[in-house]
Amino acid sequence: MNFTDILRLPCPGENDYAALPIYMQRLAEDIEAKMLAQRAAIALETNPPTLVQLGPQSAIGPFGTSSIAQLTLQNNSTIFSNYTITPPGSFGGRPQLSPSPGNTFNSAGVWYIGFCIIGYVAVGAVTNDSNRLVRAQVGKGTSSGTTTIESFGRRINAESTIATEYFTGQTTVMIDNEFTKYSVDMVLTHANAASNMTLPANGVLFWCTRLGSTENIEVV
Amino acid sequence: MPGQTPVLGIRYPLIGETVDATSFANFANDVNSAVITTQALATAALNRKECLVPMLTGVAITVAVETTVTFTNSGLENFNPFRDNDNMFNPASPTQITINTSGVYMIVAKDTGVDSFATMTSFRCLVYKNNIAQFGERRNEQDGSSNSIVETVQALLRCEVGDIITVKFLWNGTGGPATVSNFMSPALHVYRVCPL
Repeated sequence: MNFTDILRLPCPGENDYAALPIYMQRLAEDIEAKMLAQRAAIALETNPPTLVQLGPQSAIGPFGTSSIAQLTLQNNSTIFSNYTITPPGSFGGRPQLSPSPGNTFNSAGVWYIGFCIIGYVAVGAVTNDSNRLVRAQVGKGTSSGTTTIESFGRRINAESTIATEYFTGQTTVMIDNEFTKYSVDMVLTHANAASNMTLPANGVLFWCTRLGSTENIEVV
Repeated sequence: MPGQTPVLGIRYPLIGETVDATSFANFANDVNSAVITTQALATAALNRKECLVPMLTGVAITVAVETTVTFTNSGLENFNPFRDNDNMFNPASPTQITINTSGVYMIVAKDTGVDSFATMTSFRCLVYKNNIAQFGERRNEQDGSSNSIVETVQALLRCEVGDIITVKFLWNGTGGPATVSNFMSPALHVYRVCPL
């Protein structure tokens, strides 16, 4: 049996004609294996692991300037996901925004994650130029605690005549092969001394999607 | 009965079967079909559903009145490209794009802002789906600046066929009506990240 130079597909030599069925079976199986590898690589591009959540189901607050609101979205806030996490942990394998390790990412790679705060509202007066802040931290659990891999967020200032705010933030982060140790810790604060603030139900849009591998991939 | 591979069904003769022209033809046709399918997948990956449509600049926007932005695919300046490979933009309905293939989309309202006002205290750009606010940002000018704010907002949204995407501006300050700024290259860009 001979083989092609690059893909190593079999082709019969002059002594192989009696074994044509075996040759054709092996060729068919090799073609199938290589083509399925190509399709898997294409699917990583056209159907990457993606999660979109809109929550929480109930409003948070009203809360004052000394409070920190933890933004954690549960299964019932998921409006789209096309992957599961392994091991499934406490959420049955469903990915979500969570400060607990292992609940968000399912694989190593470069991930794009982001959020939007929708309608964060002062229940009373607005302190002019006071800030509203989301601080997010992608952390990796270690034996000695949590190591911050990426910090990102958004801080805007309010206008005294407007009570309701919208703002967004996003980042890319590289997740290594210990992806079950990663978490996303997102908190919301404000400095509106004139009144408390409320994040309404469905006031957080969160998303993450895998952009690509951290390794060079070649399909042959 | 020939054998076949388990997934793609490429047929091959079994030992003891006569290998004839039909055996080779079946084999070649099955490989051909598999290659065509794979090529279609590759083409789709290289040509993902997308619409990049510029915003029509110079359109008046009254202070404190939220106004829907108008898009255009004609008379464009050379730094404003137009691309639409899924018929999402219809010039007859220039204030919206319509999703024609379901999926999760990246929605980007880029380089948005207004000009021609006296002072600005804030500018807000919100992206709507089916007339419900989805995401955006309001930026505050602490000292009532006379300079325009330029902002880009983006997010991933789940979209069904027929969903309508619009962009609305709201500014506060004095003077005006302001106009949609051409200081940068304001545009709406949507592209499909993955199927539902």
